[in-house]
Amino acid sequence: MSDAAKFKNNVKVSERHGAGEWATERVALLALIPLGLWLASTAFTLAGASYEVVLAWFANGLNAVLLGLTAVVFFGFASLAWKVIIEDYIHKPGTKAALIAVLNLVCLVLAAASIFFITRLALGSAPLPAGFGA
Amino acid sequence: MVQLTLPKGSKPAKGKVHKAAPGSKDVKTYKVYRYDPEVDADPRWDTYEVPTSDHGPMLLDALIHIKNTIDPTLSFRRSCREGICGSCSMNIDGRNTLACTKGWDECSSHNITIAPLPHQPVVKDLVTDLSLFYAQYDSIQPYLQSDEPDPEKERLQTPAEREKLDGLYECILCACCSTSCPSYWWNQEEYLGPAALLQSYRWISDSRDDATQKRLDDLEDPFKLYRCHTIMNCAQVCPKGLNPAKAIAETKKLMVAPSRKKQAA
Repeated sequence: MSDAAKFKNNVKVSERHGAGEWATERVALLALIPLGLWLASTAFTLAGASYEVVLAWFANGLNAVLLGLTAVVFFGFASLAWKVIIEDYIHKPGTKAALIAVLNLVCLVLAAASIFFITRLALGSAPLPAGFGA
Repeated sequence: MVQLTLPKGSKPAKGKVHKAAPGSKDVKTYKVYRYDPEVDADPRWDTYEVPTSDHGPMLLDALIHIKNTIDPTLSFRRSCREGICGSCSMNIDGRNTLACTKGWDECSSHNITIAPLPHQPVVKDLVTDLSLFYAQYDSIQPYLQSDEPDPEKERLQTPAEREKLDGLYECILCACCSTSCPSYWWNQEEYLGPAALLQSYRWISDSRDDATQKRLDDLEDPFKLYRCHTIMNCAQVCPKGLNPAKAIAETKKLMVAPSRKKQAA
């Protein structure tokens, strides 16, 4: 059950939202079709290429922007879609809220990390700043 | 977590076997769910062997024959015996349908399983408690709401406007669709279910009804409407051949249509 849902004669009273989330999920999915195809074809062409070639690919502004967009849309879509699955099966309000919070955090961190690394590669630096790892 | 297995005291045990007379021809075996919550600790499967020549062509005929001649304690709902009242909906051979319109010769094997509608409280045997289902139907205000004053005669519709109600008005509220929907199984406290949503769309698409935006407002909710994940069980089992999933999809489209005017809560 949703938190503090109101009921009248055992039937839930409308929360007056849901259409926005539904539309966002569909627009994101539509956007991911061309972006996903582009990403897959890029992965094929870049497979086995040298470090310099891949760095040059990232240095192309259009590639970097499109890749960043793909990452943001993908993790945004993933968070919306997983939220629906959690709401379907997890009914304890506390557990449900906690899981959705963890989900949103994970998606946010992954999207932010994607942007961070794409930006660094686009600017021609190593993925990790000096002092981190290799 | 939703309950994915049957709770304690709900697993049917093996019950009585009512054998057919020796030498009977064309015998069908009906495995019928039996449970009286006031007396029984657990439900059970009773088996009835019935020669097909003893009764009419439908499964309801077989059930009535069993009740009249073999076991008068068997309970089930029935009324019109012609697929218009929606009383004898039950789960036959793993699929929700009306016993009165399903022929026993349509079942693939000689062993036919008959159980109550899934995920509903059992009142007795094949009779389920559909109070919530009816409350959900009541909540969508299934009646004409017009801003126009009452006309002297009937409210007119063009044939094209009337056609929009085809595939919607035929619903007999048998609950086959809602109780076959996994989303309804897990979330029926908050999800309205395919039957109520199809009925709601029947009024939303009625040219004589002026409460369209109010009806959409009352449906716009992550659970009441948007638990439909187009699983399509509803359309697959509907004994009237209707498509509640399509009605729900059309409602979702209207929710984001440019013509949508949200009203203050």
